[in-house]
Amino acid sequence: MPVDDHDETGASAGFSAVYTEHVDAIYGFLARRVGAQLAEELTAQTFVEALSRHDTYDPDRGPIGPWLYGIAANLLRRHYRQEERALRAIAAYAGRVPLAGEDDVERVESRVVADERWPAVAEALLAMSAGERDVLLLYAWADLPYSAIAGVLDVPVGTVRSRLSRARGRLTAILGDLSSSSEDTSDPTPTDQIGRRR
Amino acid sequence: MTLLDDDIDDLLRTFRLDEAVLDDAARDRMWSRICAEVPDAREGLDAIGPSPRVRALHPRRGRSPRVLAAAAAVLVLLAVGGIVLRSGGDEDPVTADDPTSTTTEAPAFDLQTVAAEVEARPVTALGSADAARYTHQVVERTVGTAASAPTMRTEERWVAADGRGRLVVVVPDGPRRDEELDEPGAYTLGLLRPEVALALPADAAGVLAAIEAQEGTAVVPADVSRNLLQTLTFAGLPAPARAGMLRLLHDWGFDPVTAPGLAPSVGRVEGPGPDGSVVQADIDLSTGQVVATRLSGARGYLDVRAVIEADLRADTQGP
Repeated sequence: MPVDDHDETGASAGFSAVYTEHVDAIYGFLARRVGAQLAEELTAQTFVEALSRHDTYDPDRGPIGPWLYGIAANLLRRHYRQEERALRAIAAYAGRVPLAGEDDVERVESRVVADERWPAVAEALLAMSAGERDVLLLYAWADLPYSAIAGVLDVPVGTVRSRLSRARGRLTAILGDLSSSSEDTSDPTPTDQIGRRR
Repeated sequence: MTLLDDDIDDLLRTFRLDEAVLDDAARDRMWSRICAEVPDAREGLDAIGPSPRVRALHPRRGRSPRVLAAAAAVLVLLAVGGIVLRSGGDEDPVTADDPTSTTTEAPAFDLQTVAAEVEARPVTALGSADAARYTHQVVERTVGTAASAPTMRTEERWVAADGRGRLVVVVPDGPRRDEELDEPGAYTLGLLRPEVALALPADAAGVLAAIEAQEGTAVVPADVSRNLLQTLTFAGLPAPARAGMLRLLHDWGFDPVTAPGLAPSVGRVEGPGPDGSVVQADIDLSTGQVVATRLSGARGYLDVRAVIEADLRADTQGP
């Protein structure tokens, strides 16, 4: 493991410290979009690129985290199809996730509720443009403010706001319909993942 | 029930959250890879000069454009088998036992030739209606001359047919652009000459778009087009290896099948074609080259290349 190399002020110093500080967040963001295997590759590429062009990072423009997300988002653009394929699978499969080991009752309850709506979330994410999805998930998962998202995606702040509004609107439209219906009795038949082309 | 923005955000935060967990082993693997690609990383230096080794590195080191091109050729040939141009034709069905079943070999192509053939001219932003016609692609190009070290460059572009069998390529200026073409910006519009387009399997997505643009004459499965686009956007192409290539093709939706008599380096995959037919492709897994294709059980199948060539001859020769 890289050494956490902090200077006497506590500020991170050295690439190893940057890696230690940000790798979990970058990986988590990527894994939730394209899965663990590809996320590992893209995360490593993100840091390789960061190190390779460290001279393009300007500390005066903000913390290094959004800059890293910018590199990751750029790498992610080449894998939108894979992301969409994963979302289609979730939309088709009900998105059940094992809750074994979860002790927090509230988290279990929220997860059960969330799981039931995950297919609808996946459908809503699929219905968005990639630009809207980028903005929405950088906001929700990376927890970046509008200005940082604008920097990550190289778009104006106004574009971030409008895309976020549209993205939320799509989610509201789909999830609102789901919430207003009495119950969902459909039980989608999983497709054969190992079979012929879908 | 009215969903508030906070409700939406809270729900999103739980979506796939379980996949975000990074264990120590993965963290160490990534660090090892980073150190292998950039040795100075282990020193944790603040300022690292752009050494020649760093400049020569590319995130997709090891991916040969030839292997990428060959993988694209696989799906092109499978897609060609999957295209029904005119139903109810007079052609006899081709069956697996039919000694006249069609076999073809995939042509090779050179990415640098593609780049050289694009005739660039500047344009302003496209209107939203025009932008909707275009298919977004991300391609890797090898640039450089014999005198300089060739490097891989990633290029975003949009491809559509202009209704005359020609492919229009729009390339944005600048390293990163949004995929929405209706946003103002500087773009370069280029035309791929038809004879070049026909010779380039990697541009088959644009060829299919040209077919789709010929209203009433083409039926193209949407997922075929998507799979072809995946050949251009997929950046995780592994080194040529049997397991890797077959896994890759399976990931794209084509099944690897066992077949007696295949050479050790050859794998066979198959996917659905038109009218319940089955398209098979044999691939040399050491090079990624398609060595043979077969189409069985097809009805009303026409050669897409012949149709395009006929249309282009009519276009150039006039009425």
